[in-house]
Amino acid sequence: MRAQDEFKKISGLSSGTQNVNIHAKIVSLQQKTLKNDKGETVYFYGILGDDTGTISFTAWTFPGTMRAGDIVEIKNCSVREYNNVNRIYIDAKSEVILKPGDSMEVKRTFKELKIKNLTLGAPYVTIEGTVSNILEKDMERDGVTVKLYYGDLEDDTARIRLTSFGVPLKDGDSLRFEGAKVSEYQGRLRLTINDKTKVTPVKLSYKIGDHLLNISEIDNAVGGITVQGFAVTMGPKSGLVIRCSQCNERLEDLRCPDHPDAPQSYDLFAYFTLDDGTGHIQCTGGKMALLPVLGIKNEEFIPSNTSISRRSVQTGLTENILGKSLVVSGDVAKNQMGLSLRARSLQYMNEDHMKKFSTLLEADFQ
Amino acid sequence: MMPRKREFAYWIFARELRDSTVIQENQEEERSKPYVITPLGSRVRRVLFCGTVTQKNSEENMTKVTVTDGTGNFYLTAFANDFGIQGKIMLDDLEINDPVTVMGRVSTFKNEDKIYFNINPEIALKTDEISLKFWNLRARHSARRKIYAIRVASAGQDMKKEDIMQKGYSSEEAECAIRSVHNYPDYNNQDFEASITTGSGQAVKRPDEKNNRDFVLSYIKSNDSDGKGCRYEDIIAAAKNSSISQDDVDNLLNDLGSEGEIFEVSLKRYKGI
Repeated sequence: MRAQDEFKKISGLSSGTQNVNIHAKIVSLQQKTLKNDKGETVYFYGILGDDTGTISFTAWTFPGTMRAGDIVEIKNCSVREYNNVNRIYIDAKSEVILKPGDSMEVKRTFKELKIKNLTLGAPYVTIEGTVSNILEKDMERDGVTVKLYYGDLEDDTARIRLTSFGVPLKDGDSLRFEGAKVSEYQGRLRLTINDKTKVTPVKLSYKIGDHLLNISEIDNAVGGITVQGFAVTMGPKSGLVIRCSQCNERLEDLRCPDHPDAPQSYDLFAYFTLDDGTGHIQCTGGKMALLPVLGIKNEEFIPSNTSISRRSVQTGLTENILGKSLVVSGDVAKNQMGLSLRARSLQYMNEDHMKKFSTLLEADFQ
Repeated sequence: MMPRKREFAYWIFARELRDSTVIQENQEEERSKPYVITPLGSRVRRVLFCGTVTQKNSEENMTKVTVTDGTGNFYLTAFANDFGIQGKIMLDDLEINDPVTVMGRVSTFKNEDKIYFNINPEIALKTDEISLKFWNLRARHSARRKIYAIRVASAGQDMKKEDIMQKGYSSEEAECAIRSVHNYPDYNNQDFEASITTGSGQAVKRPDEKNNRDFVLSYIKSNDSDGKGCRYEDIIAAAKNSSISQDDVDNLLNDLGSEGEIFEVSLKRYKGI
């Protein structure tokens, strides 16, 4: 057999090799559209697997009929390193052939990651952390009742939503999940586990803290992080939001069209850019995060309070946020403009924050 | 239409900007402002800094404000035109000795081979001591990391960005280091590092009189930006940031004058000898 006809196993692939042939299963397949001045380009990416392991791939051309789960032969692809990990590249000179009758057991290899480093590019991972805020409910799945547990998983870098199909979870448990699935829901990453995920109790070597990050370190839509910096722009549409107290819909008019007799209720919304010297991120905040900044108690924030007006709220938000050094804790979400931070709390920088920040920076030079 | 990428705001000390001698025209956007390449390799068009207002000159059509961060001065100008009116209103609200946070665009002017830098403020607002400290801590940390990256870049010939990143530096720090080595091969980074640890607003306790004397002398020598001598108000503000009282500064100025280290070139303007 000529060298160029040889099929290689995934575990034997090395970076920098060209004209590689492999026989593999498509474990996952996604596509993305790139927009630039020249127009739109679609590319495909996902994971390929065989009985020796799995590998990510990028394809600039890929047959539209292929689906996750298909067995394929890929000829003339190349292997290069991307972010220190080997990756298969499929281009115009490569050939992807569907093998409909073949079957293949894929040896799952899960990359061990911290929560802040999770991406959709590595959809199955090994991860450790402490579970919290667990709620449970029954759900029907293929005619069978399955217990669904959902809550948060937290490690020393961030927090993420966690959903378990049938695997019991308890608040405070520190666990290791091998084969947890990473997906995205409403712009935020989440983890899913089921009976195929190996779950073992662990003793964590760290304490769960503030998850204080530099803005430049925020790559993904994870939760429970804290950043600190100066608010350098203030969104002009930030301010008082008037809602229907019955349906909670935002009112553009004085009355709700569906509940004209229902009284109004007050809400708040602000968006601003936070800059920490390493980068910037768009932040949004609602009533619970913003009321302390305005110095108004929740029970005073009501339509009968005549000292509150659209103008006073907008001025108050601008004066109390713009140019100030803030500590913002919240969850990152992905939207059309990129990543943004939904603030759960907003505080002014104080001596305690400074001490922690100073310790963090000094550790860099030790 | 693609969303336009927001221009990065560099948290840099006044001295880093003042020591800059390299201007890079932006070839892609002909009408946009050029970038300033600083001695630490930052490619700057927007800056964010904190400091103390030491001078203000307000007229109907224009307001000028000088802000010192302890290592030197930033000069702010805003005009009462369509683009600058918000900046002018903010500058008009400031008073001498106010601590401020400023973000603004850098304009450059060349005159007889000397480059002058002016900041067009986008925000210029009164701030507090904690914010001053916070800015200082971060700006100093960024500068020190860049200096260490420059050392790595200078250590070998033709160091690539990837080589520097392998030593633990970010992509941005590695790019800055390469730009610095290319544009400022002889810049005294050690002296710069000393100036940001002693001269910056990070309140450094100065243990003895000799340090205070050296600080004031060094500040006068390195902050004669317009050639007319270092201004008394700037010395006081920088000294205050370094926990030296105005009385102590007055005594030191007298002593330095008597010792022949400095002379008062005009009223409240000092030059080193």
